Amino acid sequence: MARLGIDVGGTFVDIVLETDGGNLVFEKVLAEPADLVGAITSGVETVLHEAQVPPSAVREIVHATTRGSNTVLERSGPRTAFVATRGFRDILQIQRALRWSMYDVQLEKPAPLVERSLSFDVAERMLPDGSVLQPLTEDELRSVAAAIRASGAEAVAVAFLHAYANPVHERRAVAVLADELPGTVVTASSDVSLQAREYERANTAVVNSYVATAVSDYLRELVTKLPSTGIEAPVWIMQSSGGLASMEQVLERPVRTLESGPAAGVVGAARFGSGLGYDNVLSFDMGGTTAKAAVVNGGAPATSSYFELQRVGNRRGSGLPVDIAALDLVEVGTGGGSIAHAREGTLRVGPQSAGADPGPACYGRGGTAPTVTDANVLLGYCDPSAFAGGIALDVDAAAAAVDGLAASLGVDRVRAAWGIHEVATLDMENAIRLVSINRGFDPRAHALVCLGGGGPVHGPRLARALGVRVAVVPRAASGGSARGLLEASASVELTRTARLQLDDADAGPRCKTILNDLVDQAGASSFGAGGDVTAVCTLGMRYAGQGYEFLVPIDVATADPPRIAEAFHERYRQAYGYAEVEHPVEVVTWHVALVRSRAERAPAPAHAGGARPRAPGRRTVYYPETGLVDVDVHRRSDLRPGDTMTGPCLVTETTTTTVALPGDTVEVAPDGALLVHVGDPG
Amino acid sequence: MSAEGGVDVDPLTVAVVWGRLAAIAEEMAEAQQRCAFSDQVREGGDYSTAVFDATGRMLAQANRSPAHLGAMPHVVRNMLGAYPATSLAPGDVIVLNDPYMGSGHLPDLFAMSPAFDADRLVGFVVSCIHLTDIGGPAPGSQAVVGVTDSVQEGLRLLPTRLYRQGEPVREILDLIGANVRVPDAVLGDIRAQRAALHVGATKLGQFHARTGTRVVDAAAEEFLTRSEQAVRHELLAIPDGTATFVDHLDDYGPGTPPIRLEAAVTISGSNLTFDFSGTDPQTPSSLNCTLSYLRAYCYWVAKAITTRDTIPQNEGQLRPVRVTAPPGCFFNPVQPAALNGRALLNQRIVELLFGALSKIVPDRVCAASGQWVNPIFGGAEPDTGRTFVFYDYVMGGVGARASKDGLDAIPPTVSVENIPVEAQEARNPIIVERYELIPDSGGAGTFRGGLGVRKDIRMLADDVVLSNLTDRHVFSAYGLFGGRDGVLGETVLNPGAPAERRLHSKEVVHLQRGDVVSFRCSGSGGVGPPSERPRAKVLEDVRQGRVTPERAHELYGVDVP
Repeated sequence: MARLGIDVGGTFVDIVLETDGGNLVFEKVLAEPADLVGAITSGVETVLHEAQVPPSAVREIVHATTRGSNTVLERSGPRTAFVATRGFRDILQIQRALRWSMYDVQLEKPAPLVERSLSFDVAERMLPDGSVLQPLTEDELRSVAAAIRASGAEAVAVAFLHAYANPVHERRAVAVLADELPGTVVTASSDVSLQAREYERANTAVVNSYVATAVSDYLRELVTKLPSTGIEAPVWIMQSSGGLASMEQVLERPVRTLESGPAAGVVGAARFGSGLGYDNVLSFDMGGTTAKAAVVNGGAPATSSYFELQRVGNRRGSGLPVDIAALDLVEVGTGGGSIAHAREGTLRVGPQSAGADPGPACYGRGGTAPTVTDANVLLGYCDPSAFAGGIALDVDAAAAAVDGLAASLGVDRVRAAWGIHEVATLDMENAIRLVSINRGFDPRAHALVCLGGGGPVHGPRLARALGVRVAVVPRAASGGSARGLLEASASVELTRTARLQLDDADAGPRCKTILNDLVDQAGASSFGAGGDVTAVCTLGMRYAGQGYEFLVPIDVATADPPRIAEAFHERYRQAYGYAEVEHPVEVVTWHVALVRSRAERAPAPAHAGGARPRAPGRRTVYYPETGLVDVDVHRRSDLRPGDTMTGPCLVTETTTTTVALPGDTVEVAPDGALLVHVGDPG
Repeated sequence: MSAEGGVDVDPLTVAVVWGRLAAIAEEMAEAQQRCAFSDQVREGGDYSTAVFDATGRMLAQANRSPAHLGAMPHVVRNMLGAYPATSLAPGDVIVLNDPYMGSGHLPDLFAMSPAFDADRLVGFVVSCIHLTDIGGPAPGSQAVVGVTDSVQEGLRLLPTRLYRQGEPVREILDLIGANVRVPDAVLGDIRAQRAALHVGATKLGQFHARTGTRVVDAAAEEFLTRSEQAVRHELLAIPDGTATFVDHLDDYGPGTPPIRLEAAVTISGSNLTFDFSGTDPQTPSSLNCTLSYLRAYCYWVAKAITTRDTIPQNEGQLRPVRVTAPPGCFFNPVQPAALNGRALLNQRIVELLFGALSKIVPDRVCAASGQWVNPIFGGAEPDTGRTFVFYDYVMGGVGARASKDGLDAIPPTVSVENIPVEAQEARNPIIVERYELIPDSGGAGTFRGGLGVRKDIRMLADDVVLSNLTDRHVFSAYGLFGGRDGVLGETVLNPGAPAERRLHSKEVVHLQRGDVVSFRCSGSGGVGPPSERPRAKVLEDVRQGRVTPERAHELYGVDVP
């Protein structure tokens, strides 16, 4: 029995086949926008052929899709209408209104998906406690429906104030609109989010309606055409939360799949880490245009109940908010293709990227700007004769590109190349600190799992900067997300806003009621019955009176108010050095994920390894600790579990290189992963 | 990389040190916002953080409220005057809110901690928060009328040690708690400052340990110089010259005269001078502006026309800028002038300077923006009797730019955010009945000014005190180069009801249950003659309800088919 992971990215489709023996076959094909499904099916056929696995042996397909987020990115969704509480039709235009680039006179707000002329309001009003102040009038709603019909809008979102506390008006409105507008997608805000914040929740409903048709058309085409490859297996879709959903679930709430691909990488990192005994992991996935990082604590990726689409330069407020459970990812515009340039006489990397075309100068496709990859080639980190899938790199072109920058900075070529590498790594270090320390996690207690083509190149240096003791490079690391897909479990999440102060007299029973209700409600959705399902609970907590919640995982079985409060104090103490133990703690958001456990898989093939393998090659490499130095170059395919090597050295594979620093020790784990034990800074 | 054997500060080292210090300031800011208790900090973002070196130079400021920036170096100097560096230990927190020692108005509490690498002091981290209340005559401490000197305005702290080696100085915290209306929110925010300082001091100390203080200091010197050069480089490209501009604040309370604001901007080589000598004298109200607050927004303008957001703000970028206002001037009041009402001035200083700069660098400025409203309601919740202070922002829009329309409903200068209505209603005895753009409020022009916003708030409690704080009920937001002014703002009590009454922009008014206050921000100014606006854009504005067919005809000469 075999399983397929298919990750559709911006430029490539990554396909990983895992055979029942635990072998991995990895293929990258170009993501042809005109016929994406065709590219996927032919890629799948190639992989099956290469692995000599019959299509009938494929038991399941796990898929990450960017169709939803691309629809928003390209603004290619249908005309969408919005219906709000009387007096609030403009909330999509007003937004939270943060000057995300404060000093920029030319600033623009994120463009809403609904134009003002398609925004309507109707008389109705709920209060924060869910009581009805003014009932909904259906007649008015029917005339709004007529206006929507006349406008030609094909999708509608309804968001009423305080619908998280009482969704009855929204539900009624959806029923009336669906009745009046057959064939139109209608989403209620309370159907996609139960969080209190009207703009964010409303926009989430809008996004859901906006992407619904594109996502369902794409998925239907995929399941229609996959059988042509001979595969007859169910397709699971990765959600932003890192859990898998069935096709039916995704068609109900496509907004949950927007961060599908990035989530897969983190899920993979969590499983690779825990498989090696590291439950606390920093996931670091560096591709061609961006790098993404996330924290995994106790085996569970950190989640957030909010993210933004189309954020600019990682600046809060620059994108469209989505109040959906998602893995807490931070994205930096620093990838292999990021262009280095001089500014104010010093060096910057990105956010401009050479992309895949023309790509870095060393690709020899006409690029002349110095990129991170060019720097890595000049530093000796990347093998010019075997880069990502066998592209031969043009070292002279890389040198010419970097020389221009070096001249303007008044330094030599190698110093400039090192500077590019160092600044790129620093950007990622700063990003990781934001998702780790400020969320109460100490990076020093974590292992860094390096994914993507750039992860193993920068990972050991990044680990050293963060104080991380070990960097892990899993097998097929450069196809990180596709591999991660194979590690995911089916899950369904539900988040509710309900304030509960933990020192209230009835906190214990109320706590139990809320959690049980959520678990029941999650189970009653299309997740369905059967199988071994575990409930994973995360509570958003704060000191009573604060406004931001810390997400703290709790054990549903043993959760009582004192234990929950103590877990919060401890998390707070980790982040800020002290806790306000006398101050009452309140729970604000309740997040439940039902996770179906996976069948255990056969372990990866084990081979007996030698202690200190001989390196088949040598290469000249630059480290600031040593200057230019000749180091051993190992071929990863030659290594066996138990092998150890001493840094500085390189381990190459066809799609990436692991760069071990002076003082590092590289060990091959039983499952074939490389463990780079970080040496003391030289 | 180590400090031993000479200090290596090539451009790449500079980049690394610069990036890390800026990131530490951002990490502090995030900690502060996450831990804060008040809406204006946790939702609105009215706070700032910065990193200083051991000599008191500001090396990096987070991208938050610019108001505190001009003040911070001054504040740190005054704190160190009272508590010399040698008397400071890890975990100490020094605070001050004295307006005349740099805070600018009493609600802004500055807090500072030293950062240590082992037992060596390597720098300082600073935080500032706008506290919800600091005492004085009306809830929220921003009443303009009936206030004639600073002592009436609330609790004043000279440099004071609030935490000693991590332990709270209980009697000072108690003193603060006893002098404010909402001690939980105020003390909670102070604890959030402490959290931010803890994060910043720890990171800064670790960074010095890792990188070496000599490297950090040398790199800092270098990037301050480079930042200064970046500003000077931009200024050199602008022709030399002086331009003046005059604008008016409506008044400083019912029955008071307008306040004439005048600025002269001079660009001479790579230097930029802002002179406010032509501005009226200080007022006998809380509407006055300290020199430090004035400087903060002069620096904002200098950055907006030069380095913008390409590099984080630091002291180097302030060096080419000179700000002068004579003592006793509205922009440099002398003790004991009251100051708490200055919040509405942030954008007005910028607009005054943009007005002058429009004559020198028209493509780098925008027309005047919609005046924001900063009303504060206070009273007791009907069910629990709990005291509440409801601090709100209603943001107008932004004036048209040289080659594009202005923006609806976003602040023109500050980085505060709208507070969600669902959060406001859950925490205060109010209902928001309307929150909408105001059609036709944006000044007509080839490029139209942004629309103002209307927010109607109904009281669910009796005996609520409202301090209104806004402007441009009399003097509209100017347009540029033939663009029209934005429509005036207004505040209306009980609109449409028999008891309807227009409220003054700085009125303090007592409200009862059921009263509705309707805040209508002024619109922003347009740029260029309306007649040159393409017909298609006018029709699109009409289609989107931003301009009515009547005004399309009247202002643009466009008839809607």
